[in-house]
Amino acid sequence: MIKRSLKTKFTVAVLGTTVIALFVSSGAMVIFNLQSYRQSVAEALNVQAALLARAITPALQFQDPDSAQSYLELLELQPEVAEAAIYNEKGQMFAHYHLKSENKAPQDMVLEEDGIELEGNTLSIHKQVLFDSEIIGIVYVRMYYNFLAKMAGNIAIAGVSILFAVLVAIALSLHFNSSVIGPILSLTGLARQMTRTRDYSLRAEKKSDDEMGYLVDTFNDMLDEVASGRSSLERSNEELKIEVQERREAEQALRESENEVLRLNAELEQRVRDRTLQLELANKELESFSYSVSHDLRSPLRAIDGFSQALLEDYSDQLDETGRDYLGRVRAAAQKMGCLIDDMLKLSRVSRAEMNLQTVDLSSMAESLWEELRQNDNREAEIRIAEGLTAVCDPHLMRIALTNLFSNAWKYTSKTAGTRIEFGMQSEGSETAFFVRDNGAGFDMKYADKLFGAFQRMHTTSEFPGTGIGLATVKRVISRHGGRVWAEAYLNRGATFYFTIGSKLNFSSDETEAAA
Amino acid sequence: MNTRPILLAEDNPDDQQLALRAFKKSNLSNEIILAKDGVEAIEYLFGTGPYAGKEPPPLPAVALLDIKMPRMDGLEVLAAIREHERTKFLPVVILTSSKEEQDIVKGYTLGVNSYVRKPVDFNEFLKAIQNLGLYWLILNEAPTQP
Repeated sequence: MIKRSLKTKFTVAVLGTTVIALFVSSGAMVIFNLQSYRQSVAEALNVQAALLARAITPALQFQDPDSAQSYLELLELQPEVAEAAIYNEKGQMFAHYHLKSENKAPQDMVLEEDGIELEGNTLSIHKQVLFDSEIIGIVYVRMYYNFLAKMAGNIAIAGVSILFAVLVAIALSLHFNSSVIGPILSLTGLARQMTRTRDYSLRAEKKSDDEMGYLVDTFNDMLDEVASGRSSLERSNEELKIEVQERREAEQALRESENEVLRLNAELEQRVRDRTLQLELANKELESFSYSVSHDLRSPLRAIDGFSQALLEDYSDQLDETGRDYLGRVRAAAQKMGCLIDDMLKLSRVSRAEMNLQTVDLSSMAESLWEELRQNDNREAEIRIAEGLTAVCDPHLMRIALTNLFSNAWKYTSKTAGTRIEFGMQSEGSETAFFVRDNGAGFDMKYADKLFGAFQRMHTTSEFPGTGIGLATVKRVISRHGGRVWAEAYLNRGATFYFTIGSKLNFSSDETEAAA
Repeated sequence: MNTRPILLAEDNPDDQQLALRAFKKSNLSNEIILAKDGVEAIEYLFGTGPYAGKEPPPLPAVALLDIKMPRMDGLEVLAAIREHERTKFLPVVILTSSKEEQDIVKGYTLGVNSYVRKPVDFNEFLKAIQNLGLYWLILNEAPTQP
C-alpha cells in the first residue's frame, strides 16, 4: 500500500509537473509564434505598400495608369500578395492587380487613415500616398495571412515535443523509482521484516554514495547500535535472569535454613524445657534429700551421743577406763558426723541459694570478717587488706567464701611465728584476680588437684581440725559467679589462693596497703 | 513458776527418752504430756479423740513440737493452734533436728514463738532444754486463760 502510494505519487508528481510545464511553455510559444507571424506579415505589407507608394507616385502625379498597372504586374513575383490596388486622390481605382486565383471586383476606396485589416485568410493594408504633405492617392495591398494553418503547425510541433517530453519523464521517473524509491522501499521492507522477525543482524545494501547511501549508512549504524544495545540488553536480561534464579535459590535456601533454624530452635527450646524440668526435678530431689538429711540423719546421732552420755553418767561405775574411753570415742564420732552433716548441708545450701548480684565493697567486708575471726583468737599477726576492692557479686555467698579462705589462712598459720596474711588484687594475664596469701603451713602442690574436692584434706585432723568442706564451698561460690579459683603453695612456706569473679569490669583497683 | 504441764510432740522414742532425761536433769518438775505425733497433740489440746466428752485437759505452759512426725507434722499442729480461739496465744516452740531455712520461715509465718534446733551433742541439748525451761516456765508471762 505504501509502496504503490509512494511510487504513484512520485510518478504523478514527475509527469504532472512535466506536462503542466510543457503545456504552459508550448502555449506561450504558439501564441508568440502566431503573434510574430502576424507582425511579420504586417511588416511585409507595410514595406510592400511603402515601396508601391514610392514607385507609383510619379504615375499618380502624371495620371499615368498604365505605368502604375505595369508596375503592379511586377507583383506576380511575390505569390503571397493576393491583390494590390492604387486609388487616386478621390478614391477612384487607378490601377489594379490580383492573383489569377483571386477574382475580386475592384471598388472605390474611402480616404481614411492608414490601417491594416483582416479579411478572411488575408491581411490587407491601405496607405495614403503623400507628396508635399498632400494626399495624392491610396495604395491597397492584400497578402495571404494563413493563421489557422500556422496555428495547426505550431500546435502539432508542441504536441510532438510534449509527447516526447512525457516519454522522457516516464523513463526518468522509472529510473528514479529504481534508484531513489527502490532503496527507500527496500529499507522499509527491511524495517518491516526486522519488526516481524526481530532479526537485528539484517543490513541494508548501499547502492550509491549520495544522500540515499548516507541514509543507508545511518540506518545501518542505527541498526548496529540497536543490535548492540539489544544484545547488551539481552545479555543483561540473561544476567538478570540468572541473578533472579540465584536469588530465588538463595531465598529458598534461606527459607530452608530459616526453617531449619526454627526447627533447631524449637528442638533446643524443647530440650531447654526438658532440661529445666529435669533440673527442677533434680533440684527438688536435692532439696528433699538435704531436707531429710537435715532431719533424719541427725536424730540417730543424737541418740548415739545422748545414750552414750547417759551410760557414762549413770553406769560409769560399771565400766572400766577402756569402756569409758570407747564411749568417749563413740560420742566424738557421733559429734563429728553431726559436723560433717552440717557442713554438707552448708555446701548444698551454697549451691542452691539464689544469687543476688550487687556491687560489694570487698575491702570492708574483709575488715569486718577479720574482726570477727580475731575476737575468738587474738594472737599476734600482721593482716594486710588492700583498699578499695569492689566486685559485683552476691554478698552473702561472697562472705561465706571469704570466711572460709580467711579462716583457712588463720588456721594454717596458727603454728607459724610472725603470721602474715594478705588480701589483695593482681593481674593474672588478661584477668584480674583477688588473692588471699599466708605464710603458714602451705601444702605440697602435688596434691593441688584434690584441694577443692569436698571432704578432701591436706592435713590430719590432729594437725589442723576441719572437715574438708571449706575450699569446696569456696569453689562452689566462685563457680556460681562464673569465676575460677586456684592455689599456689609450698610446703611449710605458705599458700596463696586466687579467685576471679566473671568479667574484668567487676574490678577496681586502688591497692594501698593497710596493716591490721 | 508456771506449774502447768509441758506438751512434747515427738515421734522418735530415742528423742523422747533423751528429752525426758534432759527435763529431769534440768530439775523441771512440770508434768510432761507426750504426744507421739501431731494428731495426738491436737487431740490433747482440743479435747478430742480419747479426751472427747470430758472436761478438756488444761492447756500446757508451752508446747514443744517436732516438725517431722507421722500423720500430722509440727507445722500443721502450729497452724491449728493459731487458728483455734482457745489455743491461739499458746506459747509454741519448734524443737527439731533441722535448721532448713524453709522450715524456719514457715514456722515464723505461722506464728511460732521460738525455733530451736536439737544439737547432736547431748550436753548442748541439755543446755537448750534448761534454757527453754528457764525462759518459758519462769521468765515468760503468758496471758491468763482465755
